[in-house]
Amino acid sequence: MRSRQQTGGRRSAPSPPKAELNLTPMIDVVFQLLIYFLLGTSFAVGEQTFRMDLPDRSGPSEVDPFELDDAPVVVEVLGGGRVRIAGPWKGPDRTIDLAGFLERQRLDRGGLLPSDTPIHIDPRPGVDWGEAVEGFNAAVLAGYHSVGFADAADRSGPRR
Amino acid sequence: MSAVSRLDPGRPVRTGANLTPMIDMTFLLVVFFVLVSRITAVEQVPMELPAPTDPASNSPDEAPRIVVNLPGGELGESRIATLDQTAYQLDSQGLRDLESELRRRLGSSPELQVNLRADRRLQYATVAPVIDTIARSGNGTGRPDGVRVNLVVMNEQENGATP
Repeated sequence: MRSRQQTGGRRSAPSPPKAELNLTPMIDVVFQLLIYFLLGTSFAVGEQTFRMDLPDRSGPSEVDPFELDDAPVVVEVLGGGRVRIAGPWKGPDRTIDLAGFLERQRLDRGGLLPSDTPIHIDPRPGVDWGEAVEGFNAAVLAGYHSVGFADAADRSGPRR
Repeated sequence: MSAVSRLDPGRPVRTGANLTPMIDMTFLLVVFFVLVSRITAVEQVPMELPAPTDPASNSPDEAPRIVVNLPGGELGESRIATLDQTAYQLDSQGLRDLESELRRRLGSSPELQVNLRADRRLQYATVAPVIDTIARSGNGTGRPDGVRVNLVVMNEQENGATP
């Protein structure tokens, strides 16, 4: 291709107009949206779960007549950080001592209870959900696998 | 300040960043946060979750789940449960509606679990009927061990709120 000087200094033809989109406002808006959602989104940080299987006991069910039903340990949550274990147990009075006590009762720790013994948490009237879960946590922390809430209709029924 | 082409010194070089990949990434991030914020807004109703001391809870697994929320009111009492964006009154009719909706969903997905998020200030007597409703909803859905329920708590030690 010959240069401009070689063609006698003729002015080149004006270049055709270029149509361009101005993307700047769009990028501005997109960044605003990004910052909004970055700040506004909350993730489930720190949330954990306790597993609890809930069999339906409202209807008839098949029961093995030769299967012995494990007697549950019923932990009454009284509120104000106090608990009571129903029955002949010399249990602790405070929720913070419950996990240690239940752990000492485990068969593999020299106690009498297998680790699959049903533990029923029975919050008394007026007890809030936080304290009920505190009792539930103590039983799980003690190493029992079958922990549930006592059913109001059938307190003696096992619930995992 | 325009640069000068070494091959053609008479013509200035137009310098410009190629913004296309950045715009692509930004749009992807926006779409991600739009979707996530919609999901978390539906599943995570703001409330004070139970925070047991020395928690023995586990991190939630990746199994499909639905979330039943029991938010607390000003005085710690609330009379509604929410499932997705539907609110159910905690009376007999509302609990029946909740049960039928849960049964429909549990029947359509055998792996489905139920996460129960309840405000720690609620009375247990408020939460107990919902637990019973969840238990009944598994009837006829082919779950011999019952409905798998996950009680959601806050592990403040993991959250970094307390040392």
